[in-house]
Amino acid sequence: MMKGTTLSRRHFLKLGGTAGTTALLAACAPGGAPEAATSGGGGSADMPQTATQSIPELLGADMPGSPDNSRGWTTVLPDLPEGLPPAPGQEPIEISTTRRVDAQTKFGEGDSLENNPWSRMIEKLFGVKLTVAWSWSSSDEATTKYNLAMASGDMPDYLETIPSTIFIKMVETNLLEDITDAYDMYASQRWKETWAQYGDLPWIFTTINGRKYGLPRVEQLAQNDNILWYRQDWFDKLGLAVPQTFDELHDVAMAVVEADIGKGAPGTTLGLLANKSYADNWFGSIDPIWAPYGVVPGHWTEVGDELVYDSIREEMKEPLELLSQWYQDGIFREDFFTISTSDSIQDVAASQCGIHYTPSWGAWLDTVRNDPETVWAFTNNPAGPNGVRARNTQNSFTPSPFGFRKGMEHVEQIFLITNFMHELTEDYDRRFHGWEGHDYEFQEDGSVAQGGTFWHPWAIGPIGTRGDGMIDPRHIANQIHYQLEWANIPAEERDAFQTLSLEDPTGVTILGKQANLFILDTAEQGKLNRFQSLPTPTMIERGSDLIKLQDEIVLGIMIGEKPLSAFDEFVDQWKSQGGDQMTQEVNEWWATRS
Amino acid sequence: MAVVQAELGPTDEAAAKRARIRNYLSRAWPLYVMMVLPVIQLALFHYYPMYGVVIAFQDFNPGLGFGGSPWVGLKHFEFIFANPDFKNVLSNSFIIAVAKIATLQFMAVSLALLLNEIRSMIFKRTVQTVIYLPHFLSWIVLGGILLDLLSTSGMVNRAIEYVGFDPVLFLGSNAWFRPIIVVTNLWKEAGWATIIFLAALTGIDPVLHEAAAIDGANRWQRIRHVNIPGILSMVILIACLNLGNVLQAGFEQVLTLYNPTVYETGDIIDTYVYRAGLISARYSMGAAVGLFQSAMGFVLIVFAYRLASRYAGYRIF
Repeated sequence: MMKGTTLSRRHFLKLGGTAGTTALLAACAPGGAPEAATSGGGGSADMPQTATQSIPELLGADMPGSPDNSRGWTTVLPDLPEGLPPAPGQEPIEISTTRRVDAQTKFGEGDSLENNPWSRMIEKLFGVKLTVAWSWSSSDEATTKYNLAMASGDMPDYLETIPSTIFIKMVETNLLEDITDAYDMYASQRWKETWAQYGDLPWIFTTINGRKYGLPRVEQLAQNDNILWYRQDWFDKLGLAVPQTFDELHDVAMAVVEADIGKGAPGTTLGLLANKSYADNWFGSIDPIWAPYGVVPGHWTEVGDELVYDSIREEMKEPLELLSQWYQDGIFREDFFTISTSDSIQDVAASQCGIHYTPSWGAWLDTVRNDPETVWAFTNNPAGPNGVRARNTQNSFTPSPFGFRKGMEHVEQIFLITNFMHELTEDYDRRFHGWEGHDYEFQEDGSVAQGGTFWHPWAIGPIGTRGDGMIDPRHIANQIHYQLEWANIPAEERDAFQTLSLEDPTGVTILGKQANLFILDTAEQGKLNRFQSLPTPTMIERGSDLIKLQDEIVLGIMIGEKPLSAFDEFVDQWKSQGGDQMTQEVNEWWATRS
Repeated sequence: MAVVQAELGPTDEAAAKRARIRNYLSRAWPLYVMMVLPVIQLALFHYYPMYGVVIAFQDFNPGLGFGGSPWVGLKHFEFIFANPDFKNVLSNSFIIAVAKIATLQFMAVSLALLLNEIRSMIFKRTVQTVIYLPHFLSWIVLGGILLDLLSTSGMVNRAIEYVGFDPVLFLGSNAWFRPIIVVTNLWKEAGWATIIFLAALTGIDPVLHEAAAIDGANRWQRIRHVNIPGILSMVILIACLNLGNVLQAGFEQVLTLYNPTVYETGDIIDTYVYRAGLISARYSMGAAVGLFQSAMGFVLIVFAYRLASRYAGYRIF
């Protein structure tokens, strides 16, 4: 284990040396240097406010950072807009919101969804009290609750990630505020410039009839690109080389299966992870096997001037045949088509499967916890026919937008808070790492550990949430590059957080950061679905039937329940049952773009 | 006089009638009071929501509500019946439901007859408790267990391998999916379904058994000639009432056990509506299918009631 860590770190630092400097410059250039903030006096740690009270005094325990600890640091808050913080005694503005939570959503003692360091800071600085009208965890629950909100007319002010079918219905019934002008007026220059670099991508899922009805949720660039992860310890034990082609991948997977090296019952070791989401997926995906053939099921690809649906193209047959052969050889779990993504992770956590295509989080911590021998490693995806390496990639600006209730009074507040959060979280010189006791804890020996609370401020508006959110899709990569710079600080001078970022007892976090940078370096392998828009009418009407046909045929052929020749029949069915109409609508959309 | 008499007559009659009603009410009022809550419940939770079926004839948008959504006539019904997939779904539902009803009925009757012959009370009660238990597990829980048992490395396949056959990919096989649904349903529900037949068996006059025994009938003959005729009307009645369920193939069970490779034999109306209607937020389409299913159920129940009243002497009205 120790050996694994040092190896990872050396690799990490080497990567950092080459890429770090330029990224640091890039990260700080547009943001306005924090020195300016200090001299401006608005949010600095030690300059007095024009009012009687300084910001840190005003925030008290809710001031981020730990300046008083010997190994602590100071967080430099961005300037507040004019007139803020509100005068003492002023009644706060209430904004009701909806939130996504999950099983890991928990808070420190006395804190809650509505009352935590994050919401208290917003209230003290902006005079905005954020209430939570309701929260949800599964997407089914979100659909139900948003429907109820619509039906009852009782809409909260700011709605987190509305499912896009519901979003369309809400706009149709005039329940959402048009924020086109508010964005122009209140969004910071820096924010607008960042998104302008991406053309109309940020607004594709929120624009109806040329007007913007919500803010997109932003994911890190290439966040869902899958790369090949493998168990270095298994490969070493069996003397296997890192696979460079599909044939080699097949052979190492077979070698792992035959050696039955996994931890489960005899005969349960799997060659390559797969599950019923066969197209693309956030864990154990097989899209890097489809994509080198030029198709990813569910994608639309430009052929000539037209967009065609990948799942019905002739090019599907070759990978289908290959996957079917691999299944027969016993590389995949025999009942993979009944296993959901989150269940299939158990095979990795329990050391039954040691090779999988997954994004940067592929070095799964549970595996290491369950089996301390584990050494994860990642590699460039094995090449398909003609040496092509390709994989699915996604628009960083995702569907399911944040919406504003029609008639909401303080739309501008969402933008003002977002401007502030954007600077605070994406200017790394500000040293925002959250709050002591909430995001991190000091240990007795002066080191710092991640706290058990996974509630992050999200850059989009006053949303604290599980997971990450950002304005700039390059945020995570920029941040990693920035942290790499800390390696140049002598170890004894690093503050506790810098030490934490560079040391990693399990090696998993650092490996994830390496993978992040590697994925960005190989971003040209990404195959983007060319249809980036809200669903067309036929998609809404016939979509589920057509997907049923597709699921049936792809999985059926893969497991040998259907012959490959059934594919042509499927194509005819697909076309006649609404597929042709869908293709026409997609191409009408495509024509307006080119 | 004549006029007065003519006026008095009806008044007397009316007075007498009022007295009768008063008399009746003074005896029966507790019954009416007892009915108040159930009637309110029925009106509130069964009749009032029926108004919602109007969305089957609208392009329903929750933001516009029942009143505001545009009317589209029979569009959604046309959509359903023009859909080649729906025929498949309909026939799957029918086949699965009929198979489930028939096997369950047969199994429940056989079990009840056998249980009835057990002399040891302790043994009988233990068996009953054990076979009732699965009824109280939800399909969600059972689904997980079954997926595990039936997987290629599961217990069932291990047993098959042990006796020298090749393992079967149960959950990915269109040949096996329906039998699995039917058998697992039997396992879960058969015990529970015996209750009504056991009750019917206890209702058989012991004199008949004694007479048969004196005439030298053995156990098998007593089952054949006393017990079976004794519960036959109950068997027919239950069979008729089950007719109303021939399109209810069991949503939860199928949802937890099926997967895309067995859509061909396993996709039923309810799962179809779940995917197409709820997940894609097409409520009107879902409501149209639901309405169709209910209408079919209604027709069948009326038909079944007629049959029941004719062949089993069962009457409500």
